[in-house]
Amino acid sequence: MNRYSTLIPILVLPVIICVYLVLFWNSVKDMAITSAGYPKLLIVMIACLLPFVLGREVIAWRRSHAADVSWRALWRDWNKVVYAAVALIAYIVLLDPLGAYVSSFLFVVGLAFALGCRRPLVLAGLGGGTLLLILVFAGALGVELPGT
Amino acid sequence: METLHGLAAGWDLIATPTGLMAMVIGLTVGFIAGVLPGFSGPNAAALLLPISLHYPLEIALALIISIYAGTTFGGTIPAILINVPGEGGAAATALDGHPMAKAGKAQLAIGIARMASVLGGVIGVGIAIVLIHPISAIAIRIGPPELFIASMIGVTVCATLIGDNVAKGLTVAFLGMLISAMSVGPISAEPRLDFGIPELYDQIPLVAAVVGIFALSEMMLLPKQMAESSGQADYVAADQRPQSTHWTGKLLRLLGLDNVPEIVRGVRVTLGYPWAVLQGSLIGLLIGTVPGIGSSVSNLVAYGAAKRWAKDKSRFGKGHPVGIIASEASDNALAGGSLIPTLTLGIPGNATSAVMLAALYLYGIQPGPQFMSAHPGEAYAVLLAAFCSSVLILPLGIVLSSPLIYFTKIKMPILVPATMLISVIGAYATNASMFDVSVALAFGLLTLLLRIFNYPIIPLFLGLILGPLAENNFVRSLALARYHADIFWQSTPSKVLLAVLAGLLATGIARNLRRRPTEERAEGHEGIAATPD
Repeated sequence: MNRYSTLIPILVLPVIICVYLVLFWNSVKDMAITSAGYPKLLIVMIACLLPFVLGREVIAWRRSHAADVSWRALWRDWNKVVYAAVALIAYIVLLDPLGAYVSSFLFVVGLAFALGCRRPLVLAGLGGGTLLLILVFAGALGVELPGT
Repeated sequence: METLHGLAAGWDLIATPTGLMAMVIGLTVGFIAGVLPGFSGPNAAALLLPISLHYPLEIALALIISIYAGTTFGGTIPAILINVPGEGGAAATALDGHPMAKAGKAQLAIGIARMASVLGGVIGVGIAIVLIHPISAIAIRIGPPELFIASMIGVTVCATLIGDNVAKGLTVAFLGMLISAMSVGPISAEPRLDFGIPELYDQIPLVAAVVGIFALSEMMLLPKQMAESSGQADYVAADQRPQSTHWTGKLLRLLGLDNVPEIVRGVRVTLGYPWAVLQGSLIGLLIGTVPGIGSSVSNLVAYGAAKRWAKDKSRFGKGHPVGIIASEASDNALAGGSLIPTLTLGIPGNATSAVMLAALYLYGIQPGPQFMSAHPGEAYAVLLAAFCSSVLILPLGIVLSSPLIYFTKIKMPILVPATMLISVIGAYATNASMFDVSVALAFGLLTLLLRIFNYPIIPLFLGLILGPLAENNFVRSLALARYHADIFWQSTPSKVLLAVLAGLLATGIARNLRRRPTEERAEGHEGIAATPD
């Protein structure tokens, strides 16, 4: 992994925040002070703070002598976090079209498997418990989950 | 007199079977959350918040405060048995609790921690009950400009004390306030950055935000945290009590009553150090009143103070009861302290109090100085629930300490999907809306990124909670002064509060400048910020 590519993660959040500030400023720029005064004050304060945040991060990056990390090692460290995040996004996207029973079953059993659970009995119990939980929410607690 | 009237009104609300049940459930959930890796008070409160909304306000608040009390004690069990604190507030407990357990006195150490937790909670909440009315009488005279500055002080204290980088803390806090301003304007009702989504005209759904910030992000990061802590230790093996083969012995063991002399000894040893209990409780109470500082700070400060004042300092770190007492008393007294700014100013003392304020918004109640006068019964009911929960730690702690050990056996691949499922359903259940689930996901992913890049997350949540209070008072102040900004530095209280704000910023910046940026990155190299209190 190139040394300069390690700078990219440092810039990700400040860039996202900058985009958000610009969008917010544009949405309130023509409004009266009662609606625009408070958000504009916050946007200015965050904009003043961001160079300090970024400056300290870049100084720390320049001074750091950490050994180069390969993509493979990085993936080994973070793969389960990625699995959990992707599974959660997929679950929420599919919750409405597939319904609560099918999507929840697939999410729980699939994620447990991806995180290292390999015992069929445990996976079956987890799947059964999931269906029971949805049944309790939909039946006993009266929560109208998608597809129930 | 007002306090007695308030207590009577609060007692009527909370001294019901439902109230008692809420406290028992809250404590039990808190015990489990304290023992489970990756869980803390706000996580557990976030999971139960959607369910608690089906009950009256005082019951929901009693549930949340009981969860907090339960978590503080639950976290001590793994701290004592295997030297891994279940939550930040038990870190100092491990320093003397674990050596005591290694010496074969695990039951005694847990007994001391249990009794110190009870006394700390009772003293902390007791003092809060006495002080809260006079403080609220002063708070109600505070005008909109002072309240706006007080809100800014709240987020500044939190941002400057949590984490090592003041700029990061303040950025995240102001970002939280800005996100809370995505609703329509307070007077003109003009939509601001709504992306064409009508649901955003109203405030950001707080239950979904709480679930995303505390539960989803935590669960997404747990696999990495568990890999770093090299798997789970065998808690049961660390409990070196002889096993009975007879069924009565097994039953007593399950109920935690197989070693009654040790339980009694734990109580006696704690009562033998009244000064340590009082000192730890007062430190916890004081630190609890400062917004954003959690038990992870107070227990270490109390431990340090107990060691400094001790005649024989060499006994600390080798299983000295005073070390456990000071840490646990401060940890539980913190709840009382954090309730003072929460109930009198609407500024949360810690993350769990912020969840309580989120519950108030969901019941249509604006937190702030008027809360104590408009809802005295509910306010005192919360204080009484905190008091009763502290007392209930003793019997429930005795019965549940042994079964709790087995919860630590739950493996990460089961815990993560199960908790995520409950979180998503909880977020959906509040308004039966997929929009709320999407908000929970958005906050979960945002918090995940913030934690990976070592931004503190508590200021984000505090900003989200304090945002509406700050904006309303900002706009009201400007309207009162016909849109002249000098109203913010006209009155003497405003000048004092601005001086405090400036002082806080100056000390925060000075502390920051003393640290080299490389130190911050070296400490946070793994990219995971501290778990919230």
